[in-house]
Amino acid sequence: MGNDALSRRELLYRCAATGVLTLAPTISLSAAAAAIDAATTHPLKPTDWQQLGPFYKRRAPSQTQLRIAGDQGLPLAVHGHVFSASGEALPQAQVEIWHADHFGHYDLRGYRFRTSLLTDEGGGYQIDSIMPGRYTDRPFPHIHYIVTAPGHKVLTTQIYFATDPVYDGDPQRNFKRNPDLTGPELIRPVLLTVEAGKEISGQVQFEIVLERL
Amino acid sequence: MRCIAALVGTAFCLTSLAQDIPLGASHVATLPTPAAAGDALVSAAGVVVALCEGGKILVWPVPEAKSRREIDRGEAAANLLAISADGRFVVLRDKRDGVLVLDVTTGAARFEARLKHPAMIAPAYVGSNPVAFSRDNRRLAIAAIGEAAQIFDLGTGHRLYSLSPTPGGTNAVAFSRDGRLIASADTDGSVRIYDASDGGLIARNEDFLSEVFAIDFSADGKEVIAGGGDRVVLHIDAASGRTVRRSNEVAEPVVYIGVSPAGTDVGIALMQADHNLRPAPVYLTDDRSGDLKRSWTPNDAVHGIGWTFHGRLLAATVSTQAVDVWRLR
Repeated sequence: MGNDALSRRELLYRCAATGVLTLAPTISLSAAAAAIDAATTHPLKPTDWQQLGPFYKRRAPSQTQLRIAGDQGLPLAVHGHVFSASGEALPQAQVEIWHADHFGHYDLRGYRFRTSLLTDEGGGYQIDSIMPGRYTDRPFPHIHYIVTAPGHKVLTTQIYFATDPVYDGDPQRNFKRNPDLTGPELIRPVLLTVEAGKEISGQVQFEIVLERL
Repeated sequence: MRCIAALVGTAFCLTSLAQDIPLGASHVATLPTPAAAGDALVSAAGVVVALCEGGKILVWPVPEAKSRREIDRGEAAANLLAISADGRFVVLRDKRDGVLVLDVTTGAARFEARLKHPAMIAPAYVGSNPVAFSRDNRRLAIAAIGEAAQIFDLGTGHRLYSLSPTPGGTNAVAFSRDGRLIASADTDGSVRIYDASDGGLIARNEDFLSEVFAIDFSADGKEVIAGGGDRVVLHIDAASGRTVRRSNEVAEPVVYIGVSPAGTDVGIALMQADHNLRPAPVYLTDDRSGDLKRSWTPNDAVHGIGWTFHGRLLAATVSTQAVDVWRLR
């Protein structure tokens, strides 16, 4: 890893020297190099674990468009990246995602609101779906993930939504109202967008960090 | 195609309710509780144990239901996970994810294990077995979510070994009656069969797509019977992991499977997927043919279910003031 960090710093200086890289006036070359070193030497915190079930289903199709015409519920786009704890994007990581429909029902017979994706070259993934509904014994809307990448521990986790009234607009303070959470990190802000002539929709970003084996 | 034909040819039916199928269950006893019971379990010896709000554990022999032992574990007690066949030991989960084995004859703790996230199928998912005792009460298998299931020596409390780690963990475990095998119902949709002497993996079945919740061995230990979110019951060859029989689809996920002492009948309980505290059907089926012998949909959700040594299938439902015990066979 030490050689890797050195080569990044060296590459940065060489790119700047040859004009391949231009930095904004407010960022010095040494500051950029220090930032890269910091990212390299201070590993990212692996994403918190959450229980898998109970309604995981294997062999979901690879599909990014989970919402179809007529689906009830707030249209919701979810996107993010998969990283290693050292900050490297992980292409070809498998991201399995599933959630309940607007009424809190999981599709056990088929694969509605279920997908299995591979991240792109930059480690990115995205889906176009709906805000999940709540159900009786878990009244906190959530989306399930299983993320798998070679050389890394399999991650099972879930995300929740800061717009859920249970957090009273302050997930940092009120995350304990959800007994499944030990911190606020998995409660994701929802960017709501209203465009003229279109229905309101939401966007959520969820960056994932995997722990090395 | 050959594989599909083989499976179709060996399918058995749980859903076609012939007109002569008996319905319902006999009411055995009402066991009053001082506070609402969250969990209730039934042992093979006919002992019923319930955990009430406030941490009070109540123990009754059934059907006499006359004497009642009370053990107060305080607010730390979160759930009842299992009861040994003889009714002597119960396994509790505390609110810090510890697993406590309690001798109910003395009220003393036998040992405590700390797991990352002990599996907790009960109570919301009826009476499956997140913890299993070997028949000789020497070993204890504890399923865990997010880590491998673990096997303990019940006498010393020492951890003997772990089963294979799986992505999400294990929902339920079972020992074969001779104690030689352990089967696990795993969250990744697999059934795994292990050598109980050292935890070595013998076989794996991947014919389920969804999580597996319920598992038991046939009386001779040659088959594993399992069910879960796929709403079917599979009979699996314990040596090879191959599916030998598959039921038709039932209405809801399968959360309990228990083979009768004689090995002739199988009790099967379902869970309403959309609201798992609502009542769901319980079936009694013939082990060999899979034919339905009795069907019962209780008025309240079943919290505990199990076979007694005498071949009775008892189920416990709870209300705010009592545990009711019912007999299907």
